[in-house]
Amino acid sequence: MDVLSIRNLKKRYKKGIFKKEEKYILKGINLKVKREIFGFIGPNGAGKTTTIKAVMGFIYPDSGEIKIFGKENTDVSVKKKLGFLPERAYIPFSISGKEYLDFCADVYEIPYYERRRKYSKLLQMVDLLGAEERKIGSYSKGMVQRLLFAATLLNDPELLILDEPMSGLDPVGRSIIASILKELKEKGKTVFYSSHIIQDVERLSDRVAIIVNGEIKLVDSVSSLISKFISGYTVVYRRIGEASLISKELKREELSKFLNSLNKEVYEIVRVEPKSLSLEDILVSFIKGGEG
Amino acid sequence: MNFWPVAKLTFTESVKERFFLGMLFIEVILIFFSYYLSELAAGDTVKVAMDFTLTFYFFLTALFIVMVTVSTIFRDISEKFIYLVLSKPIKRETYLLGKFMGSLMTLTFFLLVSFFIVSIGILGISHFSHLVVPHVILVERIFVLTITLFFMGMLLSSFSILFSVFFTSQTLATVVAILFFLSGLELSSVKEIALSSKYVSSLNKLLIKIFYYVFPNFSLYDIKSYVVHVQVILPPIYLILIFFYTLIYTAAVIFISNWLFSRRDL
Amino acid sequence: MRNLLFSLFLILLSYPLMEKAMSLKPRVEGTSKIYSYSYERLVLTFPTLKSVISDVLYIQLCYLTGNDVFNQWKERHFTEEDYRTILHNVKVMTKLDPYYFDLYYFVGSYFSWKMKDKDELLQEVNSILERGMKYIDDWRLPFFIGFNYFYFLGDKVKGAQYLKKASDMEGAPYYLKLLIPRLYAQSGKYQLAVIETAQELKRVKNEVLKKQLERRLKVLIYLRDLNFALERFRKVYRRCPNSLDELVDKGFISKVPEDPYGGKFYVDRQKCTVWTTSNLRPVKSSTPSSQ
Repeated sequence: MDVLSIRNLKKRYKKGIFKKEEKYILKGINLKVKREIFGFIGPNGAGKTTTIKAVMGFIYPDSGEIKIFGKENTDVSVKKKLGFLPERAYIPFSISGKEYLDFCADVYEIPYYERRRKYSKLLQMVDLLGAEERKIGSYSKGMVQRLLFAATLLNDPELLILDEPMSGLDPVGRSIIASILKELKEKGKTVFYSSHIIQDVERLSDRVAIIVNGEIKLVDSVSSLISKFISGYTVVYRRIGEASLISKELKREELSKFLNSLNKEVYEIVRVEPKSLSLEDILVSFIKGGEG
Repeated sequence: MNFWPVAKLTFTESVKERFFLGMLFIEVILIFFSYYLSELAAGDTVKVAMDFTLTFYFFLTALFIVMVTVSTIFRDISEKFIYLVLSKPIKRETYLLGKFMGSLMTLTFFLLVSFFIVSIGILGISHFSHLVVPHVILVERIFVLTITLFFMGMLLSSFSILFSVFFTSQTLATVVAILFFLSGLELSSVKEIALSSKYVSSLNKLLIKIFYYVFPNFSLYDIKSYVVHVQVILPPIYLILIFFYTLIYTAAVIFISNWLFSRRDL
Repeated sequence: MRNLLFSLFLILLSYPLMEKAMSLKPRVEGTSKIYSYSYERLVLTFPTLKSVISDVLYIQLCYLTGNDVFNQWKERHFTEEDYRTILHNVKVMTKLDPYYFDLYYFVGSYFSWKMKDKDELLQEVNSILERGMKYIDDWRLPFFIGFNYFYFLGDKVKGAQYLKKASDMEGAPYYLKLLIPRLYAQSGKYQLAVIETAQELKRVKNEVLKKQLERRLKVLIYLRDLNFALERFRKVYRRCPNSLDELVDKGFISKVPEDPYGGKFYVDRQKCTVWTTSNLRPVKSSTPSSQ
């Protein structure tokens, strides 16, 4: 069973005084997410956030079907095992971090005796332990984001939907989130997230979807994408016993021949690097139109 | 239908706002103002001071509940906090009901403190006025007024929610709610004057009658003369009747608000 | 800090400028008419503020009256039209807040004196006070009405009726009880006077008051009987008797009684009734206890 399935999702946006003009933001999105880390990338205005809003039930699609854990996305019971993080998230300034966590715990009906333990664990994970008594107004933007991330994990969700989770975080924050996501993957959880920091997506995701102008251009696993777009290799080797390295650029087809021809008694291979288009290049080429 | 988490959060958030203390502070200042103004009247100055103090109490409460309800909803929507809330297993109706309950809890707290302030203020004014024949002050009647103000706040809060869901601008929702409240106050006077006047056409009279029955009648909650004058009698059934009136009307408005809210793209 | 001091200095500087400008401002001395308020307009403009509006208008009225009394405006006194407007305004004020006692007190105690020769205005005052009686239970309202009737309007009987209402209310001074029969007697209603006094005598507990009432009752009974006799004389002889002795001579009364107040009963030839020189007040030589 797919954890998240989106079929033919369409959403239009009406402009003008009499709402006569129509503009399609989503022109028929089709996605199936299994137990994996699924990245959702595209330029600004492509429809990433709109798709996520439709999945969460904040906006209503004009046509199409969205199912989470096999049930309709509007079914409230689905949200019990769902975690969500919006981009540019906000919590009222006058309450403290702990009060917000209590609110979440109240909604998820987490019993009181478990809360202390859970809060400590999660806050430690995002490196905010000790800051929970302070008012949100005193938090930095990164701290708010990290707190929200911790709160998202409070109900131990099976599916996490994140809209630009890394934006606004410093490198330390990014690495914290990245390691948490990896941990979740190992536990068999699903993560569906959108981002425009391609390097992170490349690093973390199992599969990606590229969305441009309200249409999905490509859905594939990261490894196969990268390998499809390998143009050549760089082989770095040296004479045995010597320190200096020799580097040779080879075309894709030339690699195996070269490796075979290299005299293994004289030279040792230090590394073989594929020269490929990065995911970023692939994306840009899609945006510019035409296949990469 | 567990609206309690949202209600608790709304209450915690609203009570800590500076606005809450600000309103109470204004109330205290207005009590002093009433006292000094009342000294200009020859005779029963305590009556005049009570009139002013209770009028300020009445209108401040209305203003307070409108602003608290509207601002808490708009803050959630405009700052996208509502996404965080609705991403949890909470139905939209539950959220709205929780907002309503949270506002009511804030109102209750506000009214309790205000009752205390107003009673002490009036008793103080009476003490410092040195009237030859003291004006009788029944504090329990001030408490009855506080209860009716709670009902008024309930009804007004539900309308504020309706306008917050309907309009996309916070200022517009606030202003419309306040004007709505003032119109609701006018109603019975307009009806009294128009229906007894020979210059009003019968079509207009019918329209006024229809309007009167449909529109909420906020003047029901104005029992100031009962508090000020000891000889005015209020039958206990009055309170029961306005309680049910408030309950029924509030429920209707909340249902309409839920219907609108569930259709809205956020 | 310097900026703060500088702005303070500017504000202080603006003050003498403002003063100078105000003194030069063209001022219209004008007729400064007193504004007449409309109940409908006030109620529609300010819903639920009825009692507060009446308070504000009353404060304004106090101010105007104070000016009038203490002559703050040069040669500006209330004209008759002003009084009419004020009366109309007070009517509006009592409509806005019928429980406001000070309004009734104002018209009853102060206003009537200014209106003493204008009967219709006094009647209006009375109607305002009558309306007030429905809302306020205070002896002073019927007292003012009664006073207006017997003192200004000359209707002693009506006056007595209202004073009776007043005297039955809590807080009324005891001398009202004595005033009522006097008024009846003065308007020739001796039997009513007697009845009133007799009723009061039954209820009264205060010893001093009891003695006074007993004496009053005695003189009233005498007056009643003497006047009955005078009427019978008139019926027979179609003229007014010359004196009480004539009544004794002709056998209508057995003897001329003694006035317990120390005066003398006599025939008032103009009105053709019997009255007493004491005028129902103790003449110096007599005291209640000397009976």
